Amino acid sequence: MEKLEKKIVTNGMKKAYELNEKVSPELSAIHTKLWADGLELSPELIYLLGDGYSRKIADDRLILFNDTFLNDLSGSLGIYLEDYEENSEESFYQAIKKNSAINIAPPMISVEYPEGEYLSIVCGVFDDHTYNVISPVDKDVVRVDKTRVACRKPWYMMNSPRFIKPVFRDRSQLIKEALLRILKRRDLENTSVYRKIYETDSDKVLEKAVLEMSRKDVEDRKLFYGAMMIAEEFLEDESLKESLEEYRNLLSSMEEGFDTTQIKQLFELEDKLMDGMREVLKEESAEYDS
Amino acid sequence: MILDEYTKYHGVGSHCATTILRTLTNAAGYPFSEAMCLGLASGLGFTYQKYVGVEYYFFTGRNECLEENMVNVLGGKLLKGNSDDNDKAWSEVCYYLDRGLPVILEVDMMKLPYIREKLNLKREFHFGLHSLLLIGYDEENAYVLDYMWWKPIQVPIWQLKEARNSMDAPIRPHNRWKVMVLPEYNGEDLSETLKTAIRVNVHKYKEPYAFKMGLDGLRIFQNEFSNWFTKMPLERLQTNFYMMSALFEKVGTGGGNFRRMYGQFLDEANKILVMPKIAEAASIYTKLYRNWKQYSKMLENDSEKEFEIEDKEQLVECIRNLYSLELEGVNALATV
Repeated sequence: MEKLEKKIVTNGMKKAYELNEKVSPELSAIHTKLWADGLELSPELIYLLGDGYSRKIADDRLILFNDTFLNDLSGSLGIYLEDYEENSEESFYQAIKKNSAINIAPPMISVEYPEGEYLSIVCGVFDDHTYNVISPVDKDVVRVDKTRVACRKPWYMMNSPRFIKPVFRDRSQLIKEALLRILKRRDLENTSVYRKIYETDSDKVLEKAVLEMSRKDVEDRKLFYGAMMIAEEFLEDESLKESLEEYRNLLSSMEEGFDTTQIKQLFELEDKLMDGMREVLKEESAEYDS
Repeated sequence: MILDEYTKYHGVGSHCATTILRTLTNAAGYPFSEAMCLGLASGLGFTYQKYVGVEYYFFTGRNECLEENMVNVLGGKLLKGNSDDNDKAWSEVCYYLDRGLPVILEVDMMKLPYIREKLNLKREFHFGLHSLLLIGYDEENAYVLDYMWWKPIQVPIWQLKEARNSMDAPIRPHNRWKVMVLPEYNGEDLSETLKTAIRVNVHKYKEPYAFKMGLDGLRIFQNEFSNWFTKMPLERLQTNFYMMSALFEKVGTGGGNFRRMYGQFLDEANKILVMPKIAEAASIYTKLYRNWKQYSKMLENDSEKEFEIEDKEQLVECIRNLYSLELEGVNALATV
């Protein structure tokens, strides 16, 4: 992989992208784009606002990270998300070239890295089929060509409100709305209409998770823990503290490997945390009404 | 296979997207009017754009992402996709239909004869963002619900595929589809939901994601409009006037239609929220409806004049007043 000299990467607003080493490759492009637009969010808060949590099966696949995350995050933040999928390679390359030149919201494309395939911000077009992208793995600008660009995968542009100088809504309002939405979503998962697409039966999901859950999935659950910590702080309620500590300890114990009992405990604790949060929000709402 | 249960929630409506939202929310048990759907989808907006290769300006009175906004406030889930491959796009929507879920499709309305006939437009108007609700299909035909028709319409699949992937529209539909998965209504208090929807709408209107959109777009339009009379030859001016009046009153959301509905939404919302500022805003939007309608009528009349436009001053004055009133309306809502 050819690594370019580090340079200031700008978007239409002539702002530099900050590449945060601590952000996982999955969230790096989103984090970087939001930072460039003046919105500094921790990965845990990004996870919370986009309702990253998931525990279901679709088409025989275990889904432990929200499959509509980017869409949900954009909706939550008031971002207009453009998403495209091209069947023809040439249409893809033409579209990326054209939209990179417009230089407002940079295209975000899927790129293959030795560690996996991740969404990456295109920050320059070298030639028709070669781009400079911000690598979410190296946290640097790298040049990628046809061999690494997944041109059949969806690609995106995140258009922030007030594109010249982004203006986002009040953060605490966004968090409150996100918490309410997360709880409504959990209710939705138990409905017959949802089950037309997803399998959410706890026993079946547990059975699948025992077979397929990976260490990476456990690692991702740390984001859920972080999101719940944000929720606890936001709600100024300590009733979740004990369960949160138990959850954190359980996650630590699963880092090197795990068994059926631990996965079961993990899911049960997640339900407990959600229920706890629901109670706190209900009390808060009752207090407000009275 | 037709998802018959959705036909009983469908009725004729004012606008394609909000009619679909009403059908889908009613099917999930929500007692929402079309106006309520517009409000909960934070749908009020303004767009003023000129697309490459098109001789007229394009206007809408709506925001982007109505379905996304609606799903967000109700705690639902939106599944969506698009493709430039017609067959792949067709098989994707069949996947959901086969599971009992209707699918929202975006199409170029000019490619569907039943719409061309009904609208009876004098000029070609390839609008690629018209929404239909697909509720069934068989080997040759698709069955869709459309806002101006009471009953399901049978459309040959090949024709629907062409409309879904039309290359003639300035904004191509690109085979876009959306599936809304909504929680069932359990009689919950909607106060917070309503407030969130209003706040989101105010933010989107005041801080649009693109140039010439939202309140800024309207301000730019009212500034530029007076120059149109000197910059455009009469014929082009009249084409623009004709398209504007069509977009404002006949086929679009611009101007009157969505202002009337938003005013109605605020009235309905205020039965729950009881806030003086909302009542004030509701009356402003009702007034905006009448003023936009009047402006649109003037444009339509002028589009047919043979020699020159005589009411230039009134038109310029009218759009200036509209901008001031729009500003007043959104500022009243900013306190919610």
